[in-house]
Amino acid sequence: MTKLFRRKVLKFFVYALIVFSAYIIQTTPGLFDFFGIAPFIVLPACICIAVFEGEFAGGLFGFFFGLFCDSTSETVFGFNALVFLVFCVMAGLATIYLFRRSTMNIMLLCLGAVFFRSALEYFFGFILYGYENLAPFFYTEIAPQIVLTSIFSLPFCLLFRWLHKKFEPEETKE
Amino acid sequence: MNKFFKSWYFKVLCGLAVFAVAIMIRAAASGSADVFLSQAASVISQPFLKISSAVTESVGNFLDRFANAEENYLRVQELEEKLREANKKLVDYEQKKRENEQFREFLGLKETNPDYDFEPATVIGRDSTNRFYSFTIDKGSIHGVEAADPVITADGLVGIVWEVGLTYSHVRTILDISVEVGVYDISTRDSGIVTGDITLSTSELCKLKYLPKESGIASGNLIVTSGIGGVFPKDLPVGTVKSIEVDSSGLSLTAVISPSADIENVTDVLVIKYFNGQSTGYSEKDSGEGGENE
Repeated sequence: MTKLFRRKVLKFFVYALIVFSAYIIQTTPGLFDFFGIAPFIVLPACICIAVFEGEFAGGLFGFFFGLFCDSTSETVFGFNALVFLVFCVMAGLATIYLFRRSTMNIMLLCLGAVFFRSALEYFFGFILYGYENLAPFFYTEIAPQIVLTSIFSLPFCLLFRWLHKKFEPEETKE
Repeated sequence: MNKFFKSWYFKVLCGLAVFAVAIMIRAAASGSADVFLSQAASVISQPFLKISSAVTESVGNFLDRFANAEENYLRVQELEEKLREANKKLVDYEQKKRENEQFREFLGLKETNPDYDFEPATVIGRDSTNRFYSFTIDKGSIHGVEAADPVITADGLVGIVWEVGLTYSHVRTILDISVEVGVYDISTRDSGIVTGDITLSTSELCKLKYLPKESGIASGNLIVTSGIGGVFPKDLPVGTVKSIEVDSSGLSLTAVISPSADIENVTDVLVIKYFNGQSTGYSEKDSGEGGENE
């Protein structure tokens, strides 16, 4: 029991470290920038945790790292925390009740989450304010970011799958 | 699914969601982020972000060298070319400035000595092993410079052209023991010969010998060329008397002379190619003036 608990603590510590690193990489100016487009990698990382560790762990990670993103984001403080929390819980539940944990499914979940997050930001941050000529902005800024983020969800998916197996208790391993 | 909605997990997550909505509403209403949460997140992440930014900047700068190597290379070449042009202009400017200053001084000299035919020259080399400060100038025979032409500055006599090449000349100064100049004291009219002295030359001084024992020469008196012999024009300042002593033979006086010209640091000089009364050849034995003590 103690060994199991320690193993769990270590696992979530490693997860936290990875998501925190993703946050640092994402936030550092010029570090993770592809032709002016920076992928939003914290959300896929949290989604992956939700997929492999369940909706509760994913939700907690989503909420706390959403707050981190809020501290450096221009959106209303709490927006990312709420969105990450909801999407991670949904992703966790979806893999329990609807999908298998295949890489493609996880990537699609990440794509969907990032798309809806960006759509919400686009809607509340731009459309509601009535700015003109927003379509080009969506095509040149938001859409490439969604695509790039989906692509970068693959390494997170593989990493968390490997870690999940690594930290799996011996008796449950096949 | 019902199991989840009835679990305490769901309640905790709902609590967090409500909390998130609350801080969103508060932030939207107040126009600023929740100070505590925002600060907490910043406190945790700031040190890492600073390190990350610093590393990124360093790595970025390092990689930029390679990524923009060609562009940087062209830029460096362009800047080097500009620097070369600027340096050239600077050299031209310095030369013109120096020439201008020199000509201003020489103009005064020319006005007082209309018969002088000058050739301005620049000191281009100094023999570091020579203790009498001899030097090389950038004018030679193609400029009309001849051996035994007097070399002066606006301050006074510097020396004499000793050896002439096509485009250069070697000059020996009045501190040199091989150079002798016929002079007289402008106050007492006593005449003598100025020549170098091994001991005095280290202090950039020379000596005036063969002064009559009864001479009234005194410290501070101005010594000028006598013009006898035709090697040096008359009344060129040579130096001032620093001290006087009786010659070892006891028959005459010897004075220590401080040259008027700054011989050690001279950079620009005038070669007097012609003056009224100039002798046609270089006869160093002419009345003990301008000659070589050989």
